[in-house]
Amino acid sequence: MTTIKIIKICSSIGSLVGLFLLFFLLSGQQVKAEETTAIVVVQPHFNDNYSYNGQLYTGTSLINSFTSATTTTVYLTRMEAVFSDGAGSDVAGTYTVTGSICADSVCSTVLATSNSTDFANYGTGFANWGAVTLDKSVELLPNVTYYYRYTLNTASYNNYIYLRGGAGYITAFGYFYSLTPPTPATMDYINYNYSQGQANITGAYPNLDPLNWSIHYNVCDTGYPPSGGNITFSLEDVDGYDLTVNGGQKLFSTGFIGAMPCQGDIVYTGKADIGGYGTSMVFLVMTTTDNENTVIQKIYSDGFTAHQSPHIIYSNGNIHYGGKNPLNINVGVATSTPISFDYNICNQENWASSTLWLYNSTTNKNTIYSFTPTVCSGIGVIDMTNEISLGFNYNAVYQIRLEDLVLETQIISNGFVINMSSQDIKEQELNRASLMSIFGKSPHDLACTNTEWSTSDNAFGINMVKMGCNIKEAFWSTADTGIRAVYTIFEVATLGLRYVFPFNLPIKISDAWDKSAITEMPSDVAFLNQADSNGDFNLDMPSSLFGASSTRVLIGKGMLPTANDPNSKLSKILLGFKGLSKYVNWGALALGIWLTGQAVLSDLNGKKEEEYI
Amino acid sequence: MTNFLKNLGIVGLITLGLTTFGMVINAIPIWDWITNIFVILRNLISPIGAFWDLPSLLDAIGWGIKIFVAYYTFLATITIYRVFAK
Repeated sequence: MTTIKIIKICSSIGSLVGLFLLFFLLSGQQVKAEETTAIVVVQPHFNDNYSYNGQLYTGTSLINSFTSATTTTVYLTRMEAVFSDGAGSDVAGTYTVTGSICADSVCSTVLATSNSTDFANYGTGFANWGAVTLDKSVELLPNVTYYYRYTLNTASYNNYIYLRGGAGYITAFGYFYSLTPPTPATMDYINYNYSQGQANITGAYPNLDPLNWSIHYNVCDTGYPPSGGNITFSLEDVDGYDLTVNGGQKLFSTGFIGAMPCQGDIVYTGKADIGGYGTSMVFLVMTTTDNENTVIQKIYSDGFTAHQSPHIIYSNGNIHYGGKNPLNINVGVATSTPISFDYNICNQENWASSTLWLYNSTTNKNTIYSFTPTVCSGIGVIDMTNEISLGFNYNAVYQIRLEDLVLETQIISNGFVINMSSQDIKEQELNRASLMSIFGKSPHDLACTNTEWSTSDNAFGINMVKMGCNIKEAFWSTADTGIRAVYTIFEVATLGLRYVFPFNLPIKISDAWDKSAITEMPSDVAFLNQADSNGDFNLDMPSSLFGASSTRVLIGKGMLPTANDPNSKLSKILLGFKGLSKYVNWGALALGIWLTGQAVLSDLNGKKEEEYI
Repeated sequence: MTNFLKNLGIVGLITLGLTTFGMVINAIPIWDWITNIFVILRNLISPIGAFWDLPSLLDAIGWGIKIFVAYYTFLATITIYRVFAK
């Protein structure tokens, strides 16, 4: 390559840069804040003030939310009761309310009972009401009638307590409602398990235990969002209020979930602070929304209390694969194999332009499969399509790795093994380098049909048909063996050489490059690493020249004071310019290939390059 | 026959030389050094990352190197062929 040619290439690249500079102001990326619509947990609500003393109330069904197909757990969270005395006078005092769910109308079988709740000094007339929160749940079957009774006890006060409109005094009052859970409208559900972190709460905030929360979900029935929709996992308390954690964040949510299976398992390993909810019931909520952020469905897990649950402490920077291990793939079947994982890369400054790759930790290389995050924490899905899984490195350990070329912390998931299914392994073994794979039959089957093989016709004591079959089988077997031998030689000559110097040089160099992304510099040469944690080069200004010593950014993002603000105009301009620079890079490569091609042609033809350029 | 033995000897010597060189290379931690050089290189180019799309730049450079290597491998193959064809 002559000096003139290098100058030409550089000038061409410079021209392209200048051209794109004209357009970068027109470009900008905007991060859209993600919001989900909160809806209140369905709560059975009691507000009748005429039935009393064991009368059966057969009003509207009070339960209208299910979390599974055949059974459901219902939390009677709040109840309003209106009381007054029968003589028209208000009575102040103390009474106790206890709630029960019964299997029959006389409450001979109590399925669940609430804690007693004391009410004191209630007011007058209609204003007299109290709320009862049951802290126990009962599993109710659909289409079976249950009864709810609450009991008033005035043992602590000797005055009479009347229901409004009623008469007489009560010390134990049976009050029934029929609960007829309707047929579930959806088969969707969400459940969870946790394997650690059951420490009790100490102080105002829970212990910072790590979380390993396995979440099983199924929204295949009605809750699967369309393309562009969203799935959000959050926590809610018993009153349906959204428990934001760590200053307003959801637990995690997905962005584009087009490839996300409608059912599966995920493991949430992040942490979240739910301090202050240690004794209240908490629900894991899975909300699906459409592409206009309208809630399609909310489903709830079984409730738990914070002191029973793993303490969810939010932390940045993790990727976790929680699916099957090993993961078996059916090769050749016209389906896809989604690999789901949860991630949180919010601590990565440039997470919006990062890529999460399926990474082969055995060969230390990225695969061709990747996931581009649209939110900084959520569920990622890498879909392995079987059409391009040919040649995939099976039986190897894989990880999900954040592709990050410069300085920022490398985040990599736990490892898992991807295998072919046993059937695929057998088929591959059979087809590998086999002539028989062309015909899909064995030499025996290829030679003759079963009818021919089993023929008993003899001519002069010789079965000519079977003899012919044997000859043909021997031919096919020989041919197949020959092809296998040729293939084996070829395989050794090509694959084997990959590990022999100097043919291994490209592989070794590529491996060294990948490895350098997660390698710390040796301490004795660490002084060569001059960039700070933001990737900026700094310059210490001497006090002898500038009056006071200070550190200034010599080159890097930090030299622009407003660049660290993602909403600033300058940041958007930089992002736009950075996006356009991608096309400059590939354009320069194309230009280089073209110029190199000219040089190659001139070399081959023995002509001077000036005749081509 | 003489030419055949001569060529066979040349191939043998080349193989022996490459094998020996490869053993020497593998005996020293050269790939650790190269990895460290790459670490420094990443550090040096990191400030540019604020303005320039480094992943695609490195990809483009990688493809340039591959094309370069492929071309000279092709030339080497032709050269070896010409040597043995004489």
